[in-house]
Amino acid sequence: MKLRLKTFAAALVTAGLSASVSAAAEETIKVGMMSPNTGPFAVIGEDVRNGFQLYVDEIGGMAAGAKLEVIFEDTQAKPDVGLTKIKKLVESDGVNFVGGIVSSSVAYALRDYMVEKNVPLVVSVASADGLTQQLAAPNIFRTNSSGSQASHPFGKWLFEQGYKRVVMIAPGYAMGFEQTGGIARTFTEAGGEVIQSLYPPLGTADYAPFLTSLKIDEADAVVAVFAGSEAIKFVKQFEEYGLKGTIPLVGTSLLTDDLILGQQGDSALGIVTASHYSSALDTPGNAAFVKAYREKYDRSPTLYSEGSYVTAKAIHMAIEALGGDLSDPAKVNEALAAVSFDSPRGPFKFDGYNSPVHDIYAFEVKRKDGELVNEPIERFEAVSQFYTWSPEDYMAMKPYRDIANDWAK
Amino acid sequence: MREISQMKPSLVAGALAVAAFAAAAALGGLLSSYSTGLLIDCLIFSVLALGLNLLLGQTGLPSLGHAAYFGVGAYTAGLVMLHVSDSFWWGAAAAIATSMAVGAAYGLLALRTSGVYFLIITLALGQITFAIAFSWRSLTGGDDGLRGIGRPDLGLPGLNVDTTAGYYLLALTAAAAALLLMRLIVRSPFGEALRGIHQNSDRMAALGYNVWLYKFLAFVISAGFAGWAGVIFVYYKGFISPEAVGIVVSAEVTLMVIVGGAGTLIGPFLGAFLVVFMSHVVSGYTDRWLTVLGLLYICVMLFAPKGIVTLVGDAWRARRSA
Repeated sequence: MKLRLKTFAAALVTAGLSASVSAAAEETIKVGMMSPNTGPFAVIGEDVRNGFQLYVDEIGGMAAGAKLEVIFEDTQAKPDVGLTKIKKLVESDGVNFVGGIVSSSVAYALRDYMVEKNVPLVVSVASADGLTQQLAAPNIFRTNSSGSQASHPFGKWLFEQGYKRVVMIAPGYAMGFEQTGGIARTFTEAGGEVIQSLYPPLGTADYAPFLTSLKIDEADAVVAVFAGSEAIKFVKQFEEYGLKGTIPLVGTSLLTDDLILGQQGDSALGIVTASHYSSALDTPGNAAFVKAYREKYDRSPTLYSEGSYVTAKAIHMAIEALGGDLSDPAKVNEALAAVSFDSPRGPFKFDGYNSPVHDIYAFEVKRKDGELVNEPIERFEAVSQFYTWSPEDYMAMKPYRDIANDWAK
Repeated sequence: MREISQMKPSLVAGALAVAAFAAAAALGGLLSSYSTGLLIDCLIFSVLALGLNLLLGQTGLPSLGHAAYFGVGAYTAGLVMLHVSDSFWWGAAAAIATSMAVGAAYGLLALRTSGVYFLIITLALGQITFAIAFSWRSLTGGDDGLRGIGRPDLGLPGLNVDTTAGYYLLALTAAAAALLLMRLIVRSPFGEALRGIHQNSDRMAALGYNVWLYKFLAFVISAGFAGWAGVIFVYYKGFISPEAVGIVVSAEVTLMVIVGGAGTLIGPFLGAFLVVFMSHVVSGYTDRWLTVLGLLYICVMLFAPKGIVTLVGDAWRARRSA
């Protein structure tokens, strides 16, 4: 026993020594990665970690000659835990960048702290509009679409497709209000009419009462925005209640994203949604990304993994542009804001408020080679979160979460 | 002689408590800001667990909605800070009063039941509070929560709570004050009566005690402690969102009380430190940290069903009498 203890101690000392030696030999750039491993968003959290790791592996864990060390932390999708963890990353680990963040309430909770510390935060998933609008800051970035970004071109397009009157249904919180609000605004401005809007509470177990009260007879289409298990439930019930086939179902990416499409099965066929990414995209960068992702994780990437992959790439590009010199925080923020590259979703860059400018697509769920996919059927080029408005005009309008009940006439 | 031997333990305990407080206060200056922050988290949940323990441990009422009073306290203090005054004392007074008022209203409803029905109704009331926080957008900010809540002004010269170390002192003092107050309560005749009700409420009623009133008061006081924890929480974090009011927090606090030792004074502190530290430290090493925590809880339930503090206390007494 004594001997074993001694060997163990010796091993520890050697390990410690070699660690300190290698740390001294080459510079290390640390990136904190925050995603929920537990709680309601755990599945998305896994995609976020996978996408990030894939990119880090592709560049061999090196950026501008320095070693890139990624520290993963679990936010548990709780804002107060997220704040404690980010303090650990910033104050204890001394990270140079933080990426990830799925839940918008976590993102809002971290925002003030990160602005105070002036460490770049690159949000991969959380879509709350305010983060890159009223609360925008030089060190807060986002690689996902903002809440209403994909909705704006989509609403106008729906009208052009011949739909004149729609009913809307979405969960009663910020995400639902922002995504339906974006569609409603451009749809009504084009001349369409929203005749009804329903907002079932988050966590509704049964959509039957809502489905039966939808004014289907007066509408040309149903606009639905749901996410995760609620989206699975809604799409399945939509078919069970005989609505599928009688009226088109349209929505935003989350309704049929690649993560849940398999579970929805044929009930999702024909649904049309708007987003900036699906694994079926035919861009120059996507084929290789999907192939590498499938080889490594044995499943298709989602917009969450792609968003996280892009986060890693943006951080890498900024480090390269600075030649690895991260001593000046203002320059790091500037370098990140200036990155521009080809990504799986297509050309990517930030707007003046650090939210992406990228192509938005309309996707239709189809069966291809036996698998359900979100097949692109229309492309809207280089769309920003402000769409055709100027940032000032856009932010002067009331936020979508405050006018959710004003759309239906 | 006899008097001295009776005095001594309490004197020793008092001196020990003062020494422990001083040591804990000194710790804040020595540790890294992250570790100090983690200690603040532990202290906040200790106070919340301490409040729940008055119901669960002393009175035998399993409330599963204690995050509601915690949340009400936090939202009230946050709203006072954002709209009325940055004084710590105004915020704290308003928050505790509101928490106790909500506790009184909920207590009137919940105390019509007992046992598992009490558990269910407190759970339901907690979820109603969550739903209000989630959907009353104009007041609570809805699912986005309230943010931009600064550190409060204590009005005491020389005490700056803007730094983590400074705030730690405030949290430590707040927790110590809560502990002292709770010690007074449980050692008073009122506390004795609560334990009597826990053991046999029919007999207490037969002795002439107004059992309902005692339970009601315990409920309201317990909500006040939860509100106090909410105050320390919101000023530290600078934000409050519906997650803090939800069932997950209620369940975690119940777990803290049970693991630490229901019915003891130190148990809730030990439980809170254990749960908070484990979830932050273990999750840094493995994604499967919930599995590790789950196994730990199972072990505690198997080998120390009355909590760790009770187990250690029993072992200590057995050793002394042997």
